Parts: sequence; C-alpha cells; structure tokens
Amino acid sequence: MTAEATTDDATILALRDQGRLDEALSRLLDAYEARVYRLCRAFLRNPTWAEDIAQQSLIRIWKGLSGFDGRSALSTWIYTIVRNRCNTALSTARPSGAEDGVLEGLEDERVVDAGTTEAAGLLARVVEGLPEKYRLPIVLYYFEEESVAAVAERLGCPEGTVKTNLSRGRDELRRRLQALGLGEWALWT
Amino acid sequence: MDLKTPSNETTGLDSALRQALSPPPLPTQFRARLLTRLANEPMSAEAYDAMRATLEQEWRRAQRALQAESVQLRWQTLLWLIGGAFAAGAVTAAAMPWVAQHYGTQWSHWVPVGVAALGLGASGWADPRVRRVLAQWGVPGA
Repeated sequence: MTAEATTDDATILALRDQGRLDEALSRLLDAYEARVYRLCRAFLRNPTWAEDIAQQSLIRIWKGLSGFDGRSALSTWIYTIVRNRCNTALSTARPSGAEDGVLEGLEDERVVDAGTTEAAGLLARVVEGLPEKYRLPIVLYYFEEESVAAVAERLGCPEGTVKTNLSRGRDELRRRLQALGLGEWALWT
Repeated sequence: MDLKTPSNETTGLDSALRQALSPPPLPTQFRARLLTRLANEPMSAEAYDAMRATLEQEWRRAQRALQAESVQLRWQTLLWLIGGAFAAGAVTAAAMPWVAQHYGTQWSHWVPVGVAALGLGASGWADPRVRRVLAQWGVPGA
C-alpha cells in the first residue's frame, strides 16, 4: 500500500469517526472509485458489467464502512469486497460474449500486420484467452502502472506469487503468439 | 521473469502489452450514477444495526461526560459553601468585638448580616449563571 493510500485511508476513517459522512464518502470515492473499477474490469472484462459490479461494490463498501473495525488495512478490506463481488458475479451470471469465444477468428488473423492498434487489439484478445491465474496478474500489472505490489494488493496474494504468475503468463503468452505465427518480436516493438 | 533487465523479446512484448492493456478510464458520469444509486438504496438491516450501535455509543459517551461534569459542579459548589462559611465565621469572630468596642453592641449585630451578604454576593459573582444574569442587567464587570 502506498503512503498516499495510507493517508487517504486515515483521512476517510477520521472523517467517518467525526460523523462527517459526506466528506468521508467523497474522499472514499476520490481514492478508490477508479481502482475499484479497474479491478472489476480486470475480473469481468465487460465495461458495462464492470461498472455495475464496481458500483455495487462501492455501495457495499460505503454501507459497511461504519462497521469497519480496522483489523486489516482499509484498502485490503475494500479489495476483498470487490473480489468477492466479482467472483459472485462471475459464478452466478455471465453476460453473453463477455468471455466465451475470445479466440474465435484468431486463426484467420495470423496474417494481420502487427503494426499499430490492430496489433494491440489482437494481443489483448490473446491475453483474454490465457488461464485466469495468468490473465488477471498480467492485465492488472498494466492497469496499475506496472506495479507488482499494487497487483498483489488488489488480488490479495503475496508479491512472489504475482511475479511467478506474471512470468509464467508471459511464457504462455509467447507460446500462444508463436503458435499463431506472431512470435516475431520485432513486430511488437 | 526479470523485470529489471528485460531481454529485447521481453521489451518488445512489454511495450506491446502496455499498448494493448492501457488502464481503462472511469466511465463518464460514473460517480453521478453511483450517487443516484446510493441515494435510492434501501438501508439494510446491517446498516441499521451499525447506525444504532454508533448512536447508542455516542449517547452513552455523552451521558458519561454529562454525569462527570455534574458531579464536578456539585463538588465545586460544596467546597465554595464550606469555604465561604469558614471565611464568614472568621470575619464575624474578628470583627464583632471591634465593632462593639467602637460603635456599640447594637451595631455589632449587623456584622454577621453584612458578612453573610458579602459571602452571598461573592458566591453569586463566582457562579457563571449569576454573572450571565448580571451581565444582562448591565452590571459593569459582570
């Protein structure tokens, strides 16, 4: 957790304790709404679904904040709620086209010139097809300014695990790109 | 994966991933929609319980503070009364023979009355409530 996040957390809790709830809500959203949304996007992929679940999570967080007892860091508690919401959403309902068939049509795109945004879109689709334990750390790593610590915090696991999964995920990604005939790294630079 | 010293291959993949997985911006009106949802959200039983517990805690804290203040005030009043009574007794004992000697015994009876009036005045002056009333009447220095 960054020093800035710690300060934010302390301020949010102080405002809550003083009964200045409007300010506490405002600070909470300033500090966390974007992070929560990005975490939901990483889990759920679909922007509309991610927004809905991010909002549900933030409402749950706000309602539960009065009972937050400080046994863990505020950020840890928040990300746990978000992860649980996302996992529940994934297990109960999945909007059509959110995940299934992400690799459909890739075979036909082997010859796509990996020059600009087309290449980026293609790569994103290959990443989408990775197993979840590799996909999530990779996506979050780039969503969260390439910070392993931030990814570990969001996923609630040790940094070592994140590093291992990032490394294995990249290996798997390379293997898949090579299988698609896109293993020429000069194309990606 | 060595993140510090990437190979050319890793660098190429890294920059491609950076481009492909740029952080998604927050949807426009995200907060406005969230606040609307929050305003329309019914309060859950958990939230009621939490709010009730907080309010009860605050009420108990206020009660304790009020009680402590009240006890302190009662002690202060008692000490003022005891101190005032001793001071009045001492002044009376010292002043009565002197007044009787110089002005006659008929005047010495007024000494306890005068001292009592002074004591009451001083106590009243020390009491902030009396001072507030005196200030409303326009008494200077109150």
